[in-house]
Amino acid sequence: MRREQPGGDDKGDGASGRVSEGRQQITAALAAAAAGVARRDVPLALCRACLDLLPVTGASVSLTAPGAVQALWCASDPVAGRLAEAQYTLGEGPCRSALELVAPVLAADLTGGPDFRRWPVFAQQAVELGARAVFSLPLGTGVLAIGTFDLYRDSVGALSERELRLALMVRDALTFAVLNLHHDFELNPRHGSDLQFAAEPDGHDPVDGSGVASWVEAAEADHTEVHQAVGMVMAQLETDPQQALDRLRAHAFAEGRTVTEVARDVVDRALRFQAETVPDAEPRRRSTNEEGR
Amino acid sequence: MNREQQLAEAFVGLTDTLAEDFDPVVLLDRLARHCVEIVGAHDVGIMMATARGGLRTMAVSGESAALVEMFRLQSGQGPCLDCYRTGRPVDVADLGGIADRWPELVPLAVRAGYRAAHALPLRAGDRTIGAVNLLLAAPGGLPAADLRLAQALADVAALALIHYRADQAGTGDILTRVQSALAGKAAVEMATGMLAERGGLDLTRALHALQSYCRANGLRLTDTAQALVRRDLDANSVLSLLN
Repeated sequence: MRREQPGGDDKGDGASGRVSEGRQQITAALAAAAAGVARRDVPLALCRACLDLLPVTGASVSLTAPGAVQALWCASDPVAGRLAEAQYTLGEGPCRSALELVAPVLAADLTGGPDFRRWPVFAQQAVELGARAVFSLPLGTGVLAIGTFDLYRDSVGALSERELRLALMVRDALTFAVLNLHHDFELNPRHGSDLQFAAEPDGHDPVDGSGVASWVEAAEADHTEVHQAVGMVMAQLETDPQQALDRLRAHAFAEGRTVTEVARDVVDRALRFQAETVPDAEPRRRSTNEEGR
Repeated sequence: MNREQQLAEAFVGLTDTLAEDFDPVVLLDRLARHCVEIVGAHDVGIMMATARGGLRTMAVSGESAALVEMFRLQSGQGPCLDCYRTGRPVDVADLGGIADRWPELVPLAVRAGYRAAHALPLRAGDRTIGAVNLLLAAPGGLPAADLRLAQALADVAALALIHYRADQAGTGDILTRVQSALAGKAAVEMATGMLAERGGLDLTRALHALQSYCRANGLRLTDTAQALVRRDLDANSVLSLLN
């Protein structure tokens, strides 16, 4: 399969030549962590896998719906879960900022200094829980946040550039896993703003790991024409950015091309996508027979 | 307007981060325009580093296919990448003489009519967050004084971009600001694609439609783009301004 360069041309070695070597191993590790796991459990499996890859103590995934607060989907340990929930309660903290800015928010030292001053109440609670540094990465395709991937460590210290890149790859894999959950958010009136995740009939189906790898590749195709193509496909299918990118990814994967190449076809209007006529209750099919050439 | 007045206005415009309509995407477009109109470059492109270690085009002074393609190539080779990696300016007085240095970029640049190029670092504190590429139609390059001016414009734009505050100049904070600007740029591109598809327009006209809508309603470009992508704003509202 052709490989994408992150934010670079497919032919150049990008500003990250050395990273791409490690990249294949990381995507393989993430795909292996997700393979054979029931869809609803993939986010937790990925959170646990990242503990072996990064110098962090715990990780959690929170999801958000438009106009709703965040809700915890999974956490690798109780502290990770409590850190996330403390931020929803307080309405302050890195995950809040990450959602608003659609950008990673990195607090390497909650015991004092700028991070402590920025979120004084959260920082104090986090330190009491045993966290010294927290890192929040927005889930999604980098344009809208559909939740956050939150990491904490029990010692003060920043993530290196390489570690941050790796964390972003885990974030991409998690975005795909969340996309696969196909959950419906429902506000539960009894708990005010609690999000309820509707159970779905096929949430226990095992996942194919290759989807994770090809999604991470697709998510790294950070080019103008990819974003433009995602916008066009959103309009063609009346869907959100994540689903539109997933259709581009699936098409590229099926044809053995890069997402960038497929995006150029869409932008040049040589390729159009059509809505899949699949009833909502069916699991999402990876259709590869788009018409329009 | 003489050059001093132009400059004074440019600096005020680039540093006015408290203005209601401050938008990183627009700020960098403005910087590119100043580099053409005041500094005297023929064309300009601005690239910023992503958290993944790549370079991403944030602003280009023109819309010609060759120019856009040149900046696509520059994420993998060229003066911007060298400048970003070293944090130092790159000056190419004669593009015709260095074909082997960037084998794909140089022939394309020469075919498009460029003869010289400069890349200046986009600096935030002691970090390089990207590069400003000045392209010239004549060989020889710009005088040192003009390059200093371009660097000064780039420096204030970069400071504005990261909302420089002594208390918050942590490296993590710079990364967050830069990534947030990149997310805004991506939202504008996505919204442009949506409008192009919905209105049957080419991408250039779709972007102009978005910009006109923002101007007519006093809205920030990035906010409006994000509202379109979130579907809080209907594409038809934006397209209805077109006749």
